[in-house]
Amino acid sequence: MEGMTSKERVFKAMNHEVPDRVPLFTFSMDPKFIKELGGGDAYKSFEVLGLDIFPIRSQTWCEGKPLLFSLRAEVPPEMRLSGGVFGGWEGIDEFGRVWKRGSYVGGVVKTEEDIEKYVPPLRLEERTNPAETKRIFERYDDKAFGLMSHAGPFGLTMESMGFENFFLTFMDNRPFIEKLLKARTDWFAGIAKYAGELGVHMVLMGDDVAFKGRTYISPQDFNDLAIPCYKQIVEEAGIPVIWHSDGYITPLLEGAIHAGLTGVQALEPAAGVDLGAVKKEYGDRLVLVGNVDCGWVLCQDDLQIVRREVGRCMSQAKEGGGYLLSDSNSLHAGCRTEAIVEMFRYAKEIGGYD
Amino acid sequence: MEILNEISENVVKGDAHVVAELVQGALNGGVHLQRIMNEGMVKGMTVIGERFKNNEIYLPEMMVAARAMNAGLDIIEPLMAKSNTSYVGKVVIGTVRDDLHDVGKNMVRIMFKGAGFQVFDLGIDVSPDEFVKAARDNDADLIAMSTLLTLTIPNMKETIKAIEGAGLKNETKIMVGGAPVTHNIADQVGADGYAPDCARAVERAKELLGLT
Repeated sequence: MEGMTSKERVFKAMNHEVPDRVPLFTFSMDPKFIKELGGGDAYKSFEVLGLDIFPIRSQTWCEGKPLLFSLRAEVPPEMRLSGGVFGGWEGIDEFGRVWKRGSYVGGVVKTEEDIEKYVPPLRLEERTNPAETKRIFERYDDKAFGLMSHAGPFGLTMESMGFENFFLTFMDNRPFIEKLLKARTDWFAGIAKYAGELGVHMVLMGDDVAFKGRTYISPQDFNDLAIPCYKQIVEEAGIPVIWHSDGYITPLLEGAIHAGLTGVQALEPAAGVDLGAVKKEYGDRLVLVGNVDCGWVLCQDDLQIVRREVGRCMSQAKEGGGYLLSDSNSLHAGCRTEAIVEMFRYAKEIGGYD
Repeated sequence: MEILNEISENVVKGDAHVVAELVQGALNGGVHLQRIMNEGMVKGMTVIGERFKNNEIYLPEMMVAARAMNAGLDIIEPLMAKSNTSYVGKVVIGTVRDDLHDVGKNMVRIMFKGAGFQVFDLGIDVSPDEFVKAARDNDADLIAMSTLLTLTIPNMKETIKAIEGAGLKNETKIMVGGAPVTHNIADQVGADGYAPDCARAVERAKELLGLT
């Protein structure tokens, strides 16, 4: 028996208290599921899945094309190789990332002039559409809302420079990296501050800083460079910030706590994140969101495998609150609809706190 | 030999300019290409590979070492064809069809080169036929496939079928890797080997090729 609204449930969990059951969340969903589950209406699909946090997207553009949030703008399959979200992106986006057939393929930022050119204007109202956002708040007034942007400062600095160029410049010309990182941080802090003014409850900051088995740069370098940026974003946001990153971020979690981040989402098991160990070490200071493997488990027809995975996550992280169930990255196009539905259904079934 | 140690040490330091000078100096002094390659550059990159595997260094440090190694290779590779210098083995590498990501694949390429392999990098979005052609044309010992996307894992299987269909399976080992790939998936698609990261990819390749 559920005794709380989504909003109450999420607030409790994020405050490391015990709600009625574990809240449910996903950072990003391929438009094919939005079409299948919500008839093309993103919020309807979140409702069908029973999610407790609804994302409000902060829009970005590539050559004038926005990110997809629903299938209102149909994109031919050949234009969406990396899944639907970046479908149709071709060329250079406003941050200096290069896209080909919806896939990231490099970055163009190399000079001081490029920093000026590829740190775009905030254009806050164009990015969020406050009137539409207000309607969504009213329509789903029991939900928690997060302003979602995958334009976090560190990942975007790497991507906009191109990875190899970034790593070499990191060794050859650290002040350039610091200058670009500072500009990206100021930009994201502007988005985060606006989130509070918009009336959402949290910022969902996408910032990929790691990959399978390791972080891109050493934890020490990350603490020196990126953690102060996160701290600035948290301070200027004035509302909780949940950090999404791909990869093995365990060595960075102490820094995340130091920065004041409220939680961390994804926690990819396939990249090496051990949810039980992370819960034990950081679970009382950091809200944990995710860890249901989306690389293999959610791509399976056998729903018993999905239930086993949800059960594992619950047994490792549910105790005492501070855990939100989510996939380990995103609900990408390779996932099975039935597996996604079962993940959230079963999470509701076993996620209660007695 | 002192100059070979210096080459190795400067690969580790990532000083491309010095490595190029030392390699040229070694050549001028009559040091054999194979020794420059093995006792200079490969030795340096072996240190880098070990440190990377042990999380003592990260991608920036590895990339500058690779740049230094390449500065040396730029000088000696054109000469290798004309001498009796040999590579450890030949690797054809690429990101599978419909996947345009190349960061992971490039790191593996660097480590293979650093271990003394000749690497034929086919780039991204590589079709099964392109893998087969490159393996055949270059008499490859190993084909290494990468993907970042779960969606394109079936294309690894398709490529392996094409390799089998072309009669190359017995003479060429096949390795797969990438973010969504696991040991189980490698078995499912019919690969001979899998490694979770670029440092271990070289170790596994050497095992598969009987080089350890």
